[in-house]
Amino acid sequence: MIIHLLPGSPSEAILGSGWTPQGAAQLNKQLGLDQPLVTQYLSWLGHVVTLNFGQDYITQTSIASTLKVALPPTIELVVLSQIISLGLAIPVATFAALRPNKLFDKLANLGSFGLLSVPTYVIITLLYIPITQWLNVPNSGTASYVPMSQGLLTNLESLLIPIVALSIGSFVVYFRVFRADLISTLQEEYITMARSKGISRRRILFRHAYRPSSVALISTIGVNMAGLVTGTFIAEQVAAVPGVGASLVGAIFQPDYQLLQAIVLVTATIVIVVNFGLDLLTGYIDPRISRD
Amino acid sequence: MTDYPPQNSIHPSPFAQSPPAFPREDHSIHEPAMPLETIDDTEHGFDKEKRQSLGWFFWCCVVYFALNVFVALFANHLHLTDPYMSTATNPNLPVNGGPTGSNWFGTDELGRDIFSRVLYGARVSLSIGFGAITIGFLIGGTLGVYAAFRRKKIDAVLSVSMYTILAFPAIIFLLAFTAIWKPISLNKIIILLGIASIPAVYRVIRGSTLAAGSREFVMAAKVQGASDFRIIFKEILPNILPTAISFYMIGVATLIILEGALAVLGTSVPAPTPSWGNMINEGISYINSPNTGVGPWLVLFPGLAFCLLLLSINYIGDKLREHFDVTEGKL
Repeated sequence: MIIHLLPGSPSEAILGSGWTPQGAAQLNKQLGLDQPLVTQYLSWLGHVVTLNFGQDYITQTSIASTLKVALPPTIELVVLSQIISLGLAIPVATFAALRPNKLFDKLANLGSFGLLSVPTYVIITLLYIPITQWLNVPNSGTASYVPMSQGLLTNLESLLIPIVALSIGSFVVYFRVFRADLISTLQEEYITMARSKGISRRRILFRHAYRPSSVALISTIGVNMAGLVTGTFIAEQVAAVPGVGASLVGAIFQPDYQLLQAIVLVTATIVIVVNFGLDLLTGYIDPRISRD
Repeated sequence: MTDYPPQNSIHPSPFAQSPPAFPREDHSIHEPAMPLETIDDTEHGFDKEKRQSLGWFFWCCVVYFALNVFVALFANHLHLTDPYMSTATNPNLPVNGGPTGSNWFGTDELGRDIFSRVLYGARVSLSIGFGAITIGFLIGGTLGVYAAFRRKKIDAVLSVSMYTILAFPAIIFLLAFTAIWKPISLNKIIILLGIASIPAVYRVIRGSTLAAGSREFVMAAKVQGASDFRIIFKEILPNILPTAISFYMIGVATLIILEGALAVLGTSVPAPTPSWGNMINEGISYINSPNTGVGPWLVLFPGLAFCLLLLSINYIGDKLREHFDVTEGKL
């Protein structure tokens, strides 16, 4: 609702140079904008419950269809970057935690600390030169987004740089959390016990160490979600991917309240649902937590 | 209320050189109990000597950071090429030229010297980082100390409102306000980012004030009838200073990143001003158009400047926290 403080009004944006007080009043009445803010908000909430986000004032298209176009690339970016970063962070952190303070651990630690302080948009800009100009990956340049319907490979190529950049950002966080947790888990007495019984290192890791250590990692994923979504929005802007981030920035500058509200609502809902799912997963992995 | 230190913990001065008077029995569970490989891990060990020294890399970071501050302050006096001089005034300038003897970092699409633009860009980043976090500390820090000292109603009201704001992504708030408050300028960006940093500063300062305020010497001062003013300034503030300083540094880095994000979205300091975010924003559209054949220097140098400055600030802040934070090892 704070967004209504933005200067300019939808009527100005729609009517443009043909703006007259009478025309604006008529249009506001037609769009329901002459109602008090609370009434507007309540009627909007009522529609949202039935997934009817309403019409976009400015382009006269339904917001649901705008979101239908904008969501896939954003979800693709988030999901793929999470898979890649977790898939790399767990083995690398294990390797580092098995030999703490040895060469590999020190290098990985130093590298992750360095990357931790680099924002995603800088990583993206620094990636363009090696990936598009040296490796000559096709379709990987700026503003070359190809939707998934035109072939999966070209779609992945066009999203390669933002995916890699977002993966690096998440990888660094996950690596640090999982390494620290695994080091302390491996010093527990039951691990020593398992070692003394002659159980293989692989079995100790998979059966005894990963399960308690993954609790901290999963809650970090939850905490990381909100930041990851805003990071994805910025990455989309830099790499010119027409996702939710691009719609959001567009909606702020229009100003297009309906679209903005819808985007914030959908994003917040997704983040909350993912966090809830991760909480359930934590309870499943460590039943002691859900009993509290 | 999790900010309270455990009741049985020892409270030496954060600067104490001597080992604590009592043996720390609660550490025994963290002692390596025969790991898979031998651990000579000083990070997890409790080597007093090692914890006192900050290491050579810390001083490298301090030197690099000081260099940035120096350049930001005295960029006018360094006899650099004018960062605004473009082909508009001097058509003979090389456009998109690679690094040469006269243009160390090359020139951009308007023939402007990237080296001097990067140096002048430090000015924007650092003044925004330090200016905004200072506003955040003046308002958020004061409120945090006050709320934690008074407790009760004022604390409850302030904390609930601050945590509510904290739950909302700052970047959306910033984008909306940069859209309202036109024309945007350096000072306005500093004020907006400063306001955006208030809740985070409030949380940290309130937490450490609560921890400091529950200690015995504060109680003793209260019993002796010291005034509130005296307790806050003589007892509490010196004790939260280490946390405040390290959070101040980390806050500077965070706000520089946030400003860069705004610049990349095109809503920070207006265009001709040399700032790293603006240079990336302008360069990224040129870097990849195949017909112009632009080299990497357009975005490489501002990007590297970002990386190195943020790395040094974060490392300084992190090391200081590690160095001062006596409670960390006790958790």
